[in-house]
Amino acid sequence: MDYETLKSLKPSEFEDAANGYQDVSNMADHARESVERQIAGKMQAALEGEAASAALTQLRALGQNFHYVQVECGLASTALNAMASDFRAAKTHLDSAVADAHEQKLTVNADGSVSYPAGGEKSEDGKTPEGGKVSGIANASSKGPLTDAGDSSDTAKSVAQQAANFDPNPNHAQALECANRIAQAIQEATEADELWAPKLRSLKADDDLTVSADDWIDAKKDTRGVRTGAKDYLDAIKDRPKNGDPKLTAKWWKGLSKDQQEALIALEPAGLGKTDGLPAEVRDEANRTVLSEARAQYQTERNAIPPEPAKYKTIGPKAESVYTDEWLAWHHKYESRAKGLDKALAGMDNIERRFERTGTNHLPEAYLLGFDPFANTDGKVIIANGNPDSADHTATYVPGSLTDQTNIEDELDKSEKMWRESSRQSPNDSVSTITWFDYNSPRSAEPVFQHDWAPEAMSDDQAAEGAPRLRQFLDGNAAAHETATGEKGHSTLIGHSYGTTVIGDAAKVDPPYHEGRTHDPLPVDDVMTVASPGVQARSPGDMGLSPEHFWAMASPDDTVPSWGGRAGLGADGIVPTDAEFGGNIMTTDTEGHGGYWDYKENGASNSLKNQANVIVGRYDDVKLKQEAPE
Amino acid sequence: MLPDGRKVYASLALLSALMLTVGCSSMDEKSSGLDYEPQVRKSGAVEEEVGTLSSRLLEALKIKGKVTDIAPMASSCDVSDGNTKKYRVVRHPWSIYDVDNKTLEKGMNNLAARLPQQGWKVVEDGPDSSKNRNREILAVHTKTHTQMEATWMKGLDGHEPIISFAVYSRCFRDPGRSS
Repeated sequence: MDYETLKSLKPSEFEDAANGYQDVSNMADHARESVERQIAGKMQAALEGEAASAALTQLRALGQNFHYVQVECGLASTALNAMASDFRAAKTHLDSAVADAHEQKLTVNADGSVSYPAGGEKSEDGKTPEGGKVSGIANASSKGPLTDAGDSSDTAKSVAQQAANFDPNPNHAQALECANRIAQAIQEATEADELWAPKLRSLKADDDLTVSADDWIDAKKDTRGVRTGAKDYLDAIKDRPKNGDPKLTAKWWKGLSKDQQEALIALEPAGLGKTDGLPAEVRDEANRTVLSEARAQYQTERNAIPPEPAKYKTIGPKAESVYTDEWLAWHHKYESRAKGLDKALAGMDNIERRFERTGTNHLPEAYLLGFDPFANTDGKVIIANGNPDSADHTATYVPGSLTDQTNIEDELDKSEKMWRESSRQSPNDSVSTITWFDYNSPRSAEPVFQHDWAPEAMSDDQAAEGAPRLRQFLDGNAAAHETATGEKGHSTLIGHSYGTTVIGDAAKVDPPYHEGRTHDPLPVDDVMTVASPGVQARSPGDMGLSPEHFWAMASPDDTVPSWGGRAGLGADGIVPTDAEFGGNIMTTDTEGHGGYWDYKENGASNSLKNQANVIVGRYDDVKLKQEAPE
Repeated sequence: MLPDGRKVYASLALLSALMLTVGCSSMDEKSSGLDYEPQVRKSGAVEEEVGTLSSRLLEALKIKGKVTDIAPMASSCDVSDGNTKKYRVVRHPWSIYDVDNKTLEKGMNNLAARLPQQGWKVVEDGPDSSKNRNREILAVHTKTHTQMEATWMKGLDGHEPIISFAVYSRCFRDPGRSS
């Protein structure tokens, strides 16, 4: 980088290029969506057979390609913007030094040196002190490598300064000052160039058409690289809400420029994906990037674990069976990680299968609002059917005991059913149903047989631990919806089994961002409990809810509510389907503890339809066993 | 949780263990015993069949209106023979809307009259138990054992007037899903 280059450099050209990359990134995003939704979704519904499934595989690979293009171009765009911002700073310093030089009648030469005219008091021989030319010396800035060069440039600088001070021509010192500033600006630009050139070069993708695990691992490395480079650029994004206040978060995000938002999406996907209060679209985009990169990383790590060696060998005259040394070594070194990775990958399969269902049978777009296979004991999965920020009716569903990322598909299925049933009941309204799984679901609901003598589902511990996260998620949903539409929208919180206990605890949470306000009601209009073993409350009022907006259902043959109430999950043994609890009690026409989303012959699908009618607010169409007292 | 609390739960667990064993076994008897042998069919074929029956029900209404674009969809049918994934059931919830109640009433009457001609046996026709006392027709398609429910929801409390349908198959076994 020299004076002429910096002088003619236009940072806006890099910003134009950044915009170009961002456009490509957005285009790839749309292309991925239409490949998945319009083409793959519809093809899956209409076609069957080997050719169709081969075509589907190819289409999904194409979708992956678009996703990869989206992520990498987003990174390139952000890198170019951050580089332009560094260059712009250097350019501003250069322009101001050159302007000052001109003002002082100094000439800036093509090599960045500064010429000064004769000037100052005439000497004894009547001559005006001669003019001359000086070159500036720069310090390595804080960004550059800290080497001994700093010292030597300091020494050279002070020698030059001394010479100028001794010169009877005062122009000399002025020229030196300008020349130093010019040299400093060029130094800054050079450092920016050196910082960004390798980072931009590393963004170059290999030229094959397969997006492999290595490519995604590479994308994650690229993100890290660009993020370190763009530190100053990111630091300029100020006022990040500190205590997780979803309302402040929503406001903060709305106040950012498009470039800043895109930079954060490109550089901090993991952080953004879990931030409550951000738009659902932003969280989804961020989490999909995290998912693709995590899958690549975990799959690669899993592949590197050697297969399990033979477990037993026999020794001694009695042929006793003992563990082999190889197996023991494998067991200590790899087994638990291998199992964890297998669970994580199975969970990711479930999420991806939901993505693939979009567009089949008119199922709406999925929004991945939360994802972390190693969160909690069994992972974290939050998926919405339809955009909750714009939906007229949003239902958040909290599943019960024994939920795990490896079986989350069953819960996603219930949420999809609720979307279909309720969309039908209010055809001119939009509906979004969300599966929220972000707590340590009890691993045992029945005594003795599942791990524990006293099942975990008999204690409130897991519910109390997860409740603050549910509360914050709901506050985030409300804030994002209000920011997007200016309105609150109608929302319902639904729990199944132990999930209702989590809801009961969430009603009692006072989040830190409520700043001392206590007992704020849950940010939802209706609460629905399905087969609740207790909500740690005696009445809807105990939860800060009005009785006419509390809806409970339990099948007469379901034993969970009665034992749950006695086990202490309900206050004083009372559960929501008890008359004395005082909410609405809905009719059911299904069997068993898990059957509430089914329907049986010669019934009227009351369990399902009642849920749907509450979700869309058609309260007087709900079939009740007992109405909440006025 | 305090250690004392744990003890209380533990003793309650013992009590409930007995309860649950009883509860579960009786539950299993009921839900495992479908009173028919599930047919072996492909999900796509059943979705198509249910969709066709829905279309014919729409024709039977003999009224014009908007119809939701929710499609018939197969999902798992809870049959506890240890391999629930392979049992499927198709359900098609849909509704007709943006029509006034007078027209919807005509539609319900037309439907009730035409159901037998289309091979449906009407099981119930009358007000449901909701506050709005909506007219609800339940019927079974005798040839395919498909069920249908039609509810005329007048929406007098400020909601859209609609006729809400649910058309659904019996459980079947999909040979493509034996996993």
